Amino acid sequence: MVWNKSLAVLTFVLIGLIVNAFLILSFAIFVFTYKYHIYTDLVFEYDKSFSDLVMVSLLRLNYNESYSAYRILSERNVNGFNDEMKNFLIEKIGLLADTNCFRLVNKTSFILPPQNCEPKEYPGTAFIFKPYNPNNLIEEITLTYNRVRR
Amino acid sequence: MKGIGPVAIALLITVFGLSAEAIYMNLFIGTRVSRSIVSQEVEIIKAVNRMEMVKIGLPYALEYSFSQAIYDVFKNGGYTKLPDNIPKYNNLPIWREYDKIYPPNIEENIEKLTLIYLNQYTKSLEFLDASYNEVDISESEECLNIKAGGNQDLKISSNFFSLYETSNISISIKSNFFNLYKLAKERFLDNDSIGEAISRSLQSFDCSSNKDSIRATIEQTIKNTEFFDDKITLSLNCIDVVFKPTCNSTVALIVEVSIKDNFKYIVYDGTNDYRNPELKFFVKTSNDYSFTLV
Repeated sequence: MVWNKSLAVLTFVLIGLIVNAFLILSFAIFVFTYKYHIYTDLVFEYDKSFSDLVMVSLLRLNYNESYSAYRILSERNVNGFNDEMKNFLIEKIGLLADTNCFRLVNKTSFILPPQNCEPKEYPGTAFIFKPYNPNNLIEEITLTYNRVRR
Repeated sequence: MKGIGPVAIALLITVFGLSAEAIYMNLFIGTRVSRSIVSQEVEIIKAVNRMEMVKIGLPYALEYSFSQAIYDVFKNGGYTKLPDNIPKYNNLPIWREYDKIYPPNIEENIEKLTLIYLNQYTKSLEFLDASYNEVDISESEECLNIKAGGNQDLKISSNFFSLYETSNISISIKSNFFNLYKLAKERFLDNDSIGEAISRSLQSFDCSSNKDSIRATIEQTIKNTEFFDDKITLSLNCIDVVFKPTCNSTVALIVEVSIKDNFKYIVYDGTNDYRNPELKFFVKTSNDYSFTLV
């Protein structure tokens, strides 16, 4: 009877320990996994909004006193898109996005093609108003780039 | 021992159940909640960035709308669409028929068409809720001030938030519109410059004068009435001259007037290119208003 009683106590203690261990473990897994998801989602949120912000910042830039980056892009089919304009955009995108590997495209073609690399990490999109044409008032431009690893 | 067995099994099942629940919550519910919260945040930030893009772009949309509007209105003789109650010639309006004038409200017509084009721009952005109902053009030294406004703010919304921004746009662009309109009004509405010039030049002729020499004088007079400077080019083309049957020195004529803005705008006319707006209309006049073209 005495043996049975002490065995019962031991069993209860053991079960209690197991229960606590499971509970603590489950809670720890829950917290860490939750934290991991929040982290990955925040990184995604940051990257996406940052890429869009790069496009906003780019469109705000002035090319010279009377000509803006916006106008370079929106009027390039009429005014042309010479190397000087391209180099201006390449330089500014590099600075704003901290990248040396990117592409700027619209829905059908490259505006600034990538140079010997495959940009795929951060896509940012902008909608720009084109000179009046009833069939084509808006152009969707996407910048995709890889950030420089430091 | 017999009494402990079922209790231990029950406890183990409970522990297993709790662990399974924790893992389930961990993997599915937690993820869903966090993703939902973060996706809402992403939506809001995306909307803010889009609103910024719209704000940067709207002055350009207004400029492009105005450029197209001035080109189209000029091409249509000062109208967006030719009204039925005015005289026409070759699908263009006649601004003057002897002493009667039919002045279009060019400024208002350009404002109306600019507004239509601007709303086409804003409506082509699916995520944007915007509607403009007023465009105002005013003169400022060598520039033109164009303002656009709406009753409601620009709005980007989803089912859980709405983002508002003031819709007012104001730009200042180079244009010779007011100079051009003043010239047209002064020469062909306030005054009959062609009729007056013809009257002066035909004073030396009489009813029996030679028709060919009268015609040559009229053509020279019309050429002398043309005008150009670095901003505007006024061209006149005499379409028809009719002599009064009983008196050669009384004539009636119809003249095509073309006033070109020497400043080029990017406009659409089959393709997008830099083009000069050209205000075209007709004038019927005579050196004696009692004699008219049939």
